[in-house]
Amino acid sequence: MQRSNTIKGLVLYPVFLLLAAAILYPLVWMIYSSFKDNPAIFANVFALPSSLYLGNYVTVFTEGAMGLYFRNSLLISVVSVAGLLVFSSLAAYAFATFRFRGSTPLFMILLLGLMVPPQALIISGFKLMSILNLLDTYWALIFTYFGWTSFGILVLRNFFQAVPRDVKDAARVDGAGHWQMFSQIMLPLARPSLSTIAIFYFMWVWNEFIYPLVYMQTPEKYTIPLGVLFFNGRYTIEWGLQMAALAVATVVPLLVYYVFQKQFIRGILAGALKG
Amino acid sequence: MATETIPATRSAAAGAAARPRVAGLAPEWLLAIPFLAPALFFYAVFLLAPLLGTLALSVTDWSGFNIADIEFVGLDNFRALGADSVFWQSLQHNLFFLVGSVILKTTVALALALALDQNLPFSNVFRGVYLMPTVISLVVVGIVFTLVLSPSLGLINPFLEAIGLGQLAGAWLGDPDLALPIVIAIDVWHGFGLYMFLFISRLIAIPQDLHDAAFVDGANGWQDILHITLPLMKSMVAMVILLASIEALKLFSIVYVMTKGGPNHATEVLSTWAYFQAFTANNVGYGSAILVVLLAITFVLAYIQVTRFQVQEEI
Repeated sequence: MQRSNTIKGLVLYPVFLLLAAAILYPLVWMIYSSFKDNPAIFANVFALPSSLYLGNYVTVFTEGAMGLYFRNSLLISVVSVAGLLVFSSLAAYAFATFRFRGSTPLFMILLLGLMVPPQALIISGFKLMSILNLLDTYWALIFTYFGWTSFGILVLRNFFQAVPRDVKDAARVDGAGHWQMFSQIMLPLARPSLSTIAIFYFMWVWNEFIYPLVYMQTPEKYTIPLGVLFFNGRYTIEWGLQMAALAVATVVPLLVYYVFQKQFIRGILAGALKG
Repeated sequence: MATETIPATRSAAAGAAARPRVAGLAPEWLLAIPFLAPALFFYAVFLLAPLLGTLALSVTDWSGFNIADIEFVGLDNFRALGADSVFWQSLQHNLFFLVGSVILKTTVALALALALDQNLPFSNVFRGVYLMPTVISLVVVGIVFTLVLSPSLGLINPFLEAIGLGQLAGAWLGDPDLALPIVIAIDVWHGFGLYMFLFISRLIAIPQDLHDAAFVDGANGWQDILHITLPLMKSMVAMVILLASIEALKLFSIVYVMTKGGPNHATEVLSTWAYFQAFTANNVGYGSAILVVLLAITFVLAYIQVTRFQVQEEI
């Protein structure tokens, strides 16, 4: 067993390391290049920075409006994720608890939301937003994201259904109504599932690109991905600036990933396996 | 009898028809309304309505400015698609991308899942690294790789020259033959980790007894993988292929950021072509018709997925 592990390692580690390098190098390159000024990058694209040049970051936050994009993204993500959690947990409770005619077809219609490619909705979505007078507002994005409860409903319905009857019955004996049952028994039990969903939705909303591209017109209202694209379009030959903008855009998802890796992975499995 | 004494609204297990309504208690659908209303409202207005709107607009001719100008044209847009060579190219590119990215992602993900399942030290670290690109915005990924592939500066051409393979240096995204394969490669780079985790979760669920039994019977590691593990992975492979296919149809950001469909439509796909038609050429009806084709393909795959799931749940 010991010997076969050594052989396996000799074969597999080079593959693992090569692949890890292919994944990490472009990102590491992006980050260290953001600390080089433009002449230094053009002199040698591969070289590590000789000194820590912060000028790119200053420009990104002053001439570029990266701070503003950051704030927009944060605001939209937090409000959207909060709404998605509330709406999907409420609906999931209903699907897990109440038996009524049409509940299965209704649930199937909701699952449709997992399959629809967002870009298939942009043309009529744009017209809808202009009719509702929401174009170029945060609400255009937030309301759109509120429509993506399918994933949360799916995961939480499964969870609520799996709560043992004993727990539910005990609460009923104590005279809990549906509202108390939901808010005081079910939600606290569902905390791990809720955090999984929250992380998953946060990543999705934070990185979402096509709706801001279509719905937002004033650059001051851009979210991070759109803002980075806009900024980098203005400074196509200023690679140092581009790298700094990209690094700023990447830092939040990466941090969230490293802190909440478990929840994120659970989210992937839940979304794929129960979808 | 016992269930009948529990108020109908509180009983989750019994079928609705079997239970008499208890006087004084609201029927269940009425109780469900406040719980369902917010989610259904936003779903109906901001997802279903635009979905139906896409269908409705696809049978109209409209420049997109004045609602009074909408003209019903029946299936004219779909007839026009037949004669639109860029549409056919886009459709081909979508399918080429789908097949390429699904095959590569599934193969790479499965191979790595098996390799990382060998309990070698640091497997966890590698897993974490491989999943990492998934959380990075496709816009960032697209820009970074545009810089990496930049023919004038970039990383690839100087590297090839440095190791004496300068003749391999290319125009990369500027080369119509290479642009789409590069987009596929970047998509695989970004997304294979997710499917790798799906495979790992299935591998973990295989009882160790099965492997032990194989080894007792004299199987070596390869034979164990070939005859025990892989047959048990079949349904997961099928599911990953479906999931990755549905995901592949969402292709837009990488193309929009890296090539805008170019050079000369070499990376044009349905979503970018529809975007151009609707927002640049002001052919809202025609753009919607292109999206309807995309939706139709998605729903065929989704239908297969849903029916497959019912089969799986029966087992």
